[in-house]
Amino acid sequence: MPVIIASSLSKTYSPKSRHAVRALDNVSLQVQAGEIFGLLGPNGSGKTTFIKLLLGIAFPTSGSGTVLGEPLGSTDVKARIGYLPENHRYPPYLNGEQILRFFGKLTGLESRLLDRRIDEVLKQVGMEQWRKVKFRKYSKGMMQRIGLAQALLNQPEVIFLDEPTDGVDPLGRKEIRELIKHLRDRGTTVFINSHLLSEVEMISDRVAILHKGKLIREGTVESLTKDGDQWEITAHGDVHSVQMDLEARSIHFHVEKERITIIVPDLQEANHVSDLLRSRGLLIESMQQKKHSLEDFFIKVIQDEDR
Amino acid sequence: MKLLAIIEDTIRESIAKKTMIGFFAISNVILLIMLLIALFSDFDINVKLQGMEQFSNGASPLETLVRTMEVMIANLLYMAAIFLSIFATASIMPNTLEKGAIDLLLSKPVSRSTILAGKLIGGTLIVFFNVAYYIIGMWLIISFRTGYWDSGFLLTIFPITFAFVVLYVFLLFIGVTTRSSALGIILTYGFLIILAPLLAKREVFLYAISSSETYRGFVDVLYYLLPKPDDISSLMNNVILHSEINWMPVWSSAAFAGVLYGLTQYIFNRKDF
Ligand SMILES: Nc1ncnc2c1ncn2[C@@H]1O[C@H](COP(=O)(O)OP(=O)(O)OP(=O)(O)O)[C@@H](O)[C@H]1O
Ligand SMILES: [Mg+2]
Repeated sequence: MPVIIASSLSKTYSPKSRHAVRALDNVSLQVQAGEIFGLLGPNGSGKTTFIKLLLGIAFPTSGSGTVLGEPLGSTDVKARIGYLPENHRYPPYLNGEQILRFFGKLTGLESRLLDRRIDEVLKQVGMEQWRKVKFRKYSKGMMQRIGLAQALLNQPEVIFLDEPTDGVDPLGRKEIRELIKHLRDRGTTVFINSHLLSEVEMISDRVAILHKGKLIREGTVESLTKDGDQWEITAHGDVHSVQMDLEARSIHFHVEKERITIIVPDLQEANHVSDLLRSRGLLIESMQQKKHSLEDFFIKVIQDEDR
Repeated sequence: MKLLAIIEDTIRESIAKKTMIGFFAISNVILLIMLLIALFSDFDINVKLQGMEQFSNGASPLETLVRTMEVMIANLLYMAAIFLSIFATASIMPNTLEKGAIDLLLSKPVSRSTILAGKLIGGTLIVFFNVAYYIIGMWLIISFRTGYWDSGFLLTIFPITFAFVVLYVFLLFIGVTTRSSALGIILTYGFLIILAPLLAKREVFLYAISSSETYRGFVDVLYYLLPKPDDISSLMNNVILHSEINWMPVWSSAAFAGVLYGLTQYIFNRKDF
């Protein structure tokens, strides 16, 4: 059963004013239990708005949806959800532990369990030594970690992370990625908004791309970045000996000193070409299916849309 | 439980902010001055009372003197306490609704009505404790000095807090609709300084502008609809003097607060963040 269902969700902010903004336009998507889902899109494309509609922080202009089988905005279901908002602000006069206690109480955790969970999540995000320090003294990355800890307190079934690695150093980002994978392995559904495409690429099972409030692509990272069936072969040696043959068969290639890079349309052709190369005494360095990075793909589809 | 957590957080926030400390410090300074006056003044109550007759309402000269003094002190305090409390609590709702803070609050299993109620009760308790501290301190000093112990003055804690709550509901309303604490303060002060006194004494001031029935009817409607801080301060005086009490200002102000609170809740429930 899908954990998140959005059916034709649309949102127009201040619909009656001159400044009406169509932040989301007829977005339908589903997220399955236990997957890591990445929602991508340029600034202002409606990613945050989408999460807000799911959590009842803002209300849809039209359309509907469910989270964990409950209608959007249901109060009780929020006990089973974790959320790390973007630009989250916590009471600056509380220390890390007090912040967690406050939100834990709001989640309805009973106090003995809460004490235990506070220790656990502080450890998970690497903030144990900062637990007694006031929030206003935290660095940006520490704030982000406390935000993450807060979202994990109630062992949520679904967790929504809006730019989770914003402001976190490379090592910390890696830790957060590990944490997210660990959550998935334990069966948590993870919904991530992010600009950091290389990161999303590393961890997401499925992604969707929003552009100006519209959902323009959706699929596994694999299916989106695969560039047809093209294969790329690189080899080195006496490159001149094969150039004529390749030209005769109108195969694309690129020569740089002793090295040749060849692109062929399918696997069978790739094998023919590699036989040819070997028969001429060239050494094959690699042969792989050609892929775009998610970033290349993202930039390409956004540019296509804008054209 | 969740309501308690929000109330506790509201109180903690106001303690963390310096306005509340200022409020408390001012109370202490005034109490200290009173204490010094009480300890060192030559004022001899028995000399003052010599030759004074029993009053017609049955109060003894001592009672009358002390109560009159209490009325003066209470009136000074009433305005000061309300102005300070408004200043100290106006930012509670706007702060709660700040970007990043409200998103987080609303992502927890807490209803919007619990949040609003927590802010109402939290703000009220803060002011109640401050006013109670001040009034009880003052009462102890006066009573020890004069040897006259009367509960009337103590009861003023309630009308003062009540007058505050009515105005605080208005602050919540402005907070939810505009997220501005400055606007809430300006409008409430404007109401307290200009509109409320004019309406309370409308026979003297506003009626003089025109004798038109429609106009005077309009002024009356406005008077009955809006909160009545001036009438509540008269009520407070009557509590101290043990005179008869007119409850109309209380229930009409309560009705105003109730309706406005309902409206605030309605708007809050539908608001996007
Ligand atoms: N509370 C609001 N009131 C009015 N307009 C809003 C509000 N929140 C967002 N918008 C508008 O809705 C659009 C989508 O905003 P949203 O925050 O969802 O984008 P986003 O994809 O999360 O962007 P970013 O990557 O910068 O976080 C933007 O044009 C924004 O100006
Ligand atoms: Mg965003």
